[in-house]
Amino acid sequence: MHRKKTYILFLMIFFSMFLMGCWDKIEIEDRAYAITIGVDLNQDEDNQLSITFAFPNPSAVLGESDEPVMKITGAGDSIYEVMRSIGTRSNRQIYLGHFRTVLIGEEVAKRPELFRGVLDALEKDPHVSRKVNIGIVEGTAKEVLDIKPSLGPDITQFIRQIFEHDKLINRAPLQTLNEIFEFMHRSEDGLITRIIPGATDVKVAGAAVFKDFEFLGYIGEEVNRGLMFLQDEADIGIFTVEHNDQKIPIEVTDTKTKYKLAQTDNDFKIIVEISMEGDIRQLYFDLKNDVLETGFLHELGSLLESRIKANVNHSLGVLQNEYGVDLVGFDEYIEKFHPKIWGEIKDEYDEIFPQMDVVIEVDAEIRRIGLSK
Amino acid sequence: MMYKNNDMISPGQFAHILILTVVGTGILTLPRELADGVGPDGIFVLLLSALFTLVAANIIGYIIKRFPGKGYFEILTICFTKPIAYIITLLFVVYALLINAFIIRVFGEVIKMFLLIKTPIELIIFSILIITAFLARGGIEPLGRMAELLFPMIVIPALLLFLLAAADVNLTNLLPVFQASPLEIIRAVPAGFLSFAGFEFVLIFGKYLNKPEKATKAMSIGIGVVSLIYLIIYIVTLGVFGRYQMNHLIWPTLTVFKVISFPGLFIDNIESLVMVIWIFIVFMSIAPMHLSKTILLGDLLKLRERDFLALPIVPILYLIALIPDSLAETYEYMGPFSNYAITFFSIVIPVIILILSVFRKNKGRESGSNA
Amino acid sequence: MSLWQDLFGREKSGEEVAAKETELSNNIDENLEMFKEVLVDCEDVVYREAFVGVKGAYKVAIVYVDGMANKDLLNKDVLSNLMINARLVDPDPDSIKAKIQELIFDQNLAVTEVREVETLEECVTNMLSGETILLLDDHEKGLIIGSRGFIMRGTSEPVTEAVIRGPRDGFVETARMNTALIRRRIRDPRLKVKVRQIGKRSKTDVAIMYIEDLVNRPALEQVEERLNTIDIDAIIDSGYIEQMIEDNWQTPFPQIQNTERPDSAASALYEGRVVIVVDNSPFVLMVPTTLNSLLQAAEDYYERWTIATAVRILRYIAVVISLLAPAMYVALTSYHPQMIPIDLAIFLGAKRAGVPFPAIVEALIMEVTIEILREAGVRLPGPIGATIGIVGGLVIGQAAVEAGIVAPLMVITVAITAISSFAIPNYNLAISFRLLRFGFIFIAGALGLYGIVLLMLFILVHLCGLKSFGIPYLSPFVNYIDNYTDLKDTFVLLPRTSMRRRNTIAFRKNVNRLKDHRPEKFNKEDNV
Repeated sequence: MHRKKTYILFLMIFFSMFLMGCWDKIEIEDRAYAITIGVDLNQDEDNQLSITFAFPNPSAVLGESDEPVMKITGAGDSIYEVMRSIGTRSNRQIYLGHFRTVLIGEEVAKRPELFRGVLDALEKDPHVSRKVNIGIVEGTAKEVLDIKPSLGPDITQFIRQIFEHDKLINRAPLQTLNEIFEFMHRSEDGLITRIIPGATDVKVAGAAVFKDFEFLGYIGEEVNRGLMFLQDEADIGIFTVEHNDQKIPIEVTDTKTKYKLAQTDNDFKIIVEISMEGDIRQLYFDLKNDVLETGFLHELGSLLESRIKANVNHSLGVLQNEYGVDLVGFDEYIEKFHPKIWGEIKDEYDEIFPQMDVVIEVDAEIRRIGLSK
Repeated sequence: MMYKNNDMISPGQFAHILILTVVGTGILTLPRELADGVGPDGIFVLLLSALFTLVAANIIGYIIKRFPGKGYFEILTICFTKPIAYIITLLFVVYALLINAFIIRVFGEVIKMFLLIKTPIELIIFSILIITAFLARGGIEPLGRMAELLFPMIVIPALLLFLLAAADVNLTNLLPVFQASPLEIIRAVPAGFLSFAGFEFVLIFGKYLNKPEKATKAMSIGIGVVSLIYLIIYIVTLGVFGRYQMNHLIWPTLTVFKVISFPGLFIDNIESLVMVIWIFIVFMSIAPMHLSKTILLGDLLKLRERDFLALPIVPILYLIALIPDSLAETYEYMGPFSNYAITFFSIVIPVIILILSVFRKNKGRESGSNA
Repeated sequence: MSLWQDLFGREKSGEEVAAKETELSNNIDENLEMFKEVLVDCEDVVYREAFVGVKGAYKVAIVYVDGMANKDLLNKDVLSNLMINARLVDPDPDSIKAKIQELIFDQNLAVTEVREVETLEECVTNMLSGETILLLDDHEKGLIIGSRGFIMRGTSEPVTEAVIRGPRDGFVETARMNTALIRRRIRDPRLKVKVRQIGKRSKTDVAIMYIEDLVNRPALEQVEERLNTIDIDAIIDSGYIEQMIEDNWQTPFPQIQNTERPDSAASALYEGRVVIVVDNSPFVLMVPTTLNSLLQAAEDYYERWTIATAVRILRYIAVVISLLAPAMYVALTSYHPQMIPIDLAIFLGAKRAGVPFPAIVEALIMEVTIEILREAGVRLPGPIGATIGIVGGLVIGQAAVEAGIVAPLMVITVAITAISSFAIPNYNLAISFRLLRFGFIFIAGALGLYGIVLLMLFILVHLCGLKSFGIPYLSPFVNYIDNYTDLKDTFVLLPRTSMRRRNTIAFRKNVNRLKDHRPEKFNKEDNV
């Protein structure tokens, strides 16, 4: 009898739980799925951030409206504060489960305490996926969100799709939060994609440099390409070499970068070996030279090599001299592969890096020439 | 009319209970604890802790072999005297209560954070406790069956998910190895050992093993499987995050799943699915502990029918789980306590039992009677 | 507490139908009087008195129930033999009496079944089962002649368990025919049939069948023990017996399997199970049962194993869908939209913009509607029922969407759920899943995904504690370390040649059932 009584008791208690309130129930149509967030500086001392949430318009999905994107802006000290305070002005609850892109205005980036706050909020939230993309806007985020892209459909999708594209041709580092966090946690430096608003589109090119969470400046597209080579993240890209007054574009594929450390007396230098393959995209129509002749290809190859070497050296120079930040990852490399040396230099790394002796070696092979000679 | 449970579990079920109990206790914070201070050399910490645990587990297995069919209380009575046995058992019950409450509190916080933000944590804790008590009330047999049933249902999806995360693993994050000095590694082993905590509870279930001679084999296999699982988790988490980031994450094992994005997979945020697996794991850790409390209390109070004891324990657990005000406080309370208590119950007591049992056995043989 | 006692408690004492034992007397007229007294107002009982022997000196009487006894047999083989052929006896009256009895019994009655009984009750019971009573003068025993000849249905394809390939005979309502159908498939003298009568007034024949050296002994003992405890007025269908000997009558999960197919029953016997055949019911019971066996269909074994495996896996998926689909819909849309891809989420939100109810109410409305439709479809005859099912579903669903009561995704979910539940081969199980589905919807509405997991844990814990006649209900999933060979027949079905060992619930001595491995290929070229 005991057994049965306890059993019934259990059942009653258990099923009574069903009757309690549903605290978290929010119907699906009551939510606004923010896809992009723009963070800008607000001039007010109390509410330092002005945050814009852009979310798709459900009526647009049904074809009933032309406005694909709706935006709402609020001011506050942090993303979450704004989210809650916006509740007074919107009929739907903002929901961050699906959000994809953060746009941070330049002004905010220049203030480390605000910037770090935003980053931490993104790291802490259990609902924010770490595949979110982040970009620093040269201008204000709100501007960007106001753009109606001519290529459609709406700005949030547009930016998201640009980020997801592989074909960005190395002009900007495409990173997710995970990678940025990794960098920032390790050495408090980092590189974040730059977004330039235009009239009917945005340009995602170049990057913003951060050292010790301080915004230092931008690096341009070309510098970025060199950086990509250094980081072993280079993807397909076009380089133009000049041969006999002829500009020949060569598509570079299959890039591999390796680092090597060579030690001299009480110093060391890093050797960066970059190897790649090339594809000739365009020559001179009806060229009299025989392209299939290997000598010609080798010539082009060495032209390509010097071109890329120059590019990379330039990028390295910018990093070392202008900014003094190791954004390549040399420190990671030294720490992982030559830990003893790292132990010696890690405290003064900031001073060592600008002086570091780095030798670039490029090896390019032109392998393919297209369909015609 | 119900066919009576014959209260026996097979060695296979025994091993499964062991695996699930241990994995549930340590899994969340494991990578951070291992990497703390020694970085990628945490692998060695893990291996050493595993070996150490293997030894400790085998001691327990040996005790079970030596006293087949005897419960914890009985073994203690044989080796020590009755009053001391009472005290130790009571202490064990308190220890189990505290560890149980700790796990439940962490569990509640995690669920509240990931799944149900506004639901009061009291309800979450209470609901899982009710089901745990329901299982404990059934006795050891349903527990053994649940363990064997749920083990593949938990492990296989979990491993699959980890494989998906493996796409984001950067193997260089596992370097540099051999950096920490052996001394540092050894100093970190106790922390690693704590992740294996939970195996001492199976000493209480040794009484129900239907083939006690297989106890040591079951323990060894169990610990081996746990070590393998931990190894995989460690490698993947460290590979995905790198040691610097990992130090900042409270629960690296769960955060790994936020990085997964498999092209074409229609489920976007997979961590809600992971939560399902997580609930199963925690449930299978809490349930054996609850059951052992029921068994021990029944032994202490010399009751025949002890199944109803499962229910009164629930409010006690509930209240204890709600004592700390925050997550940080929880970890603060549990830190030093678990260090001492776990070592005491999983190493000290079994070793003493072992030594004393050797003496008693000898004495028993001489005088020709068994205690 | 008294309300509780009324509802669930056990009765302390009931009416005892005393078992009287009245002996038959020597005098035939007295016997006939006793019969007529007991069977007063039973006007379908026929009494036929006759005088046999030379000069008709010896009185005999037959009593039978019109409509249940085979009158042909009575006319030709009993009466004509008695009245016509017995004249060959010596006309001496004393020797007539002595000889007649012997004669009648041993030589004249050209009937296959004859028995002697001593009490009135046995006579009456047998007569009411269709046998004929032959009373002899000066003989204190009655003779029971086997003459059952009531109308019975010919064997036909079982309606509830149709297969594409496989035998199409099904059980009928006569227990003896059913045991015969099974015996055809097991021509082994070790197949035992033990008959008993259960039910005080119905006295229904219940036969226990098992294969002696294969059966699981503890289960068999349990069956016999439990059948002995049944103390009821009448057994109308095997369902009554099922409910009375079940391990746990409070759970929605059936622990006894029933089937209308003789081949299923025969393979159950081969697996070491016990089959219970109940008179007046074409459904035989098979014990012990596991959840796994409830999800197996007969034709899995007759087709090729690759197809069977695929179908089995599909079935398990269907089980999950039929349990959880509506609940998942509710949980995901109301609590965890982050799990739904963003485009779908927006679309759903857009479509639901005008719906007045929250998702859980929607789900409940649709589910209840479907259940009502289903029940209605069962009651309606033939083609109308099927049409209502389809048309009703489609039209109502569409109309509901247009009226703005439900979202279109909900209709799809409910439709898929209903279809999945039809994929479950065992009807009992499908019904219990229907109940559980509602539970899931409720708790999903309260606690989202966490609620679903909680209820699932609850059900699993419950199932793990369930035993069917000594075998854990969830075998072989819960003891696969020891009995891993059983896994060959769960959600996969391995080829017949690899299933060499017997089911582990069978008696342990007889382990192997396939001696040799089948040769690799039959097609190998033999030195032509």
